[in-house]
Amino acid sequence: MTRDVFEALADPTRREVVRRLAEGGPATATELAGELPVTRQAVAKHLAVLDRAGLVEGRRNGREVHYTVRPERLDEAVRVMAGVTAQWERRLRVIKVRLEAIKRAAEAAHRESQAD
Amino acid sequence: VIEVGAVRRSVVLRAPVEAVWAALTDGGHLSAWLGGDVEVDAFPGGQIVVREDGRLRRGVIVDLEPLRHLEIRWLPPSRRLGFLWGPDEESAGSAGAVEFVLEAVRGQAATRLTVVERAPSATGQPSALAVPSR
Repeated sequence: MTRDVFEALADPTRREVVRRLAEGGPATATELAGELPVTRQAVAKHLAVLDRAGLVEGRRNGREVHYTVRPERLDEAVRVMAGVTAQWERRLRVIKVRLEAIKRAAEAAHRESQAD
Repeated sequence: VIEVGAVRRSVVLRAPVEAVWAALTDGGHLSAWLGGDVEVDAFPGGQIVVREDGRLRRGVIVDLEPLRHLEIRWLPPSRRLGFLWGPDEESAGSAGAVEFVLEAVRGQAATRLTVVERAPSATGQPSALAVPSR
């Protein structure tokens, strides 16, 4: 669900984890903890949240779990944001046209009253 | 600061803040540009109801500072009634929020209108949802 995606990405450390996995490829919680300023336990908790949101998935390899990003979930979040942005751009165009038409009508009425 | 799950857009309107404020707080104006059929009680704690394509969206005005600021928190949809951020949205404390900021520019002749729409998760728990009695 998109909601979980936004919630998961609201945290800067989790964004950093996603960025690291997207750019650097699969990694374990231990490897991520070595590269980021957080403990392995904290990384494991963040990975669990990202996993629930469907943003990462873990593959067990012996005793290690290697995490990778699931780009389709990120794409989905980006699409939702783009849709909302387009909707507001459309509405703001309409309010602009409307207010400027009201203003022109008021100015025309004022000119007519002056001419009388 | 990057706001994940927030959309921010700004426009300069050739109209004084009073006219822009009316467009944001009058049901007739809102129906014309926001989309749908809008009813609004423009006071803090007041309700806004938007009916569009058989869907109903309900919100509460959580902040109102005349001519300057208006913030609406959308309420979670009732069963089979409307949604804001996607058909798979779960009911929770809030279904997102929208905020309008007005600033006079070019010596009162124009107004910069900024709109920020926040996704449910970025909104957090709406503590301001305790609606004052009328």
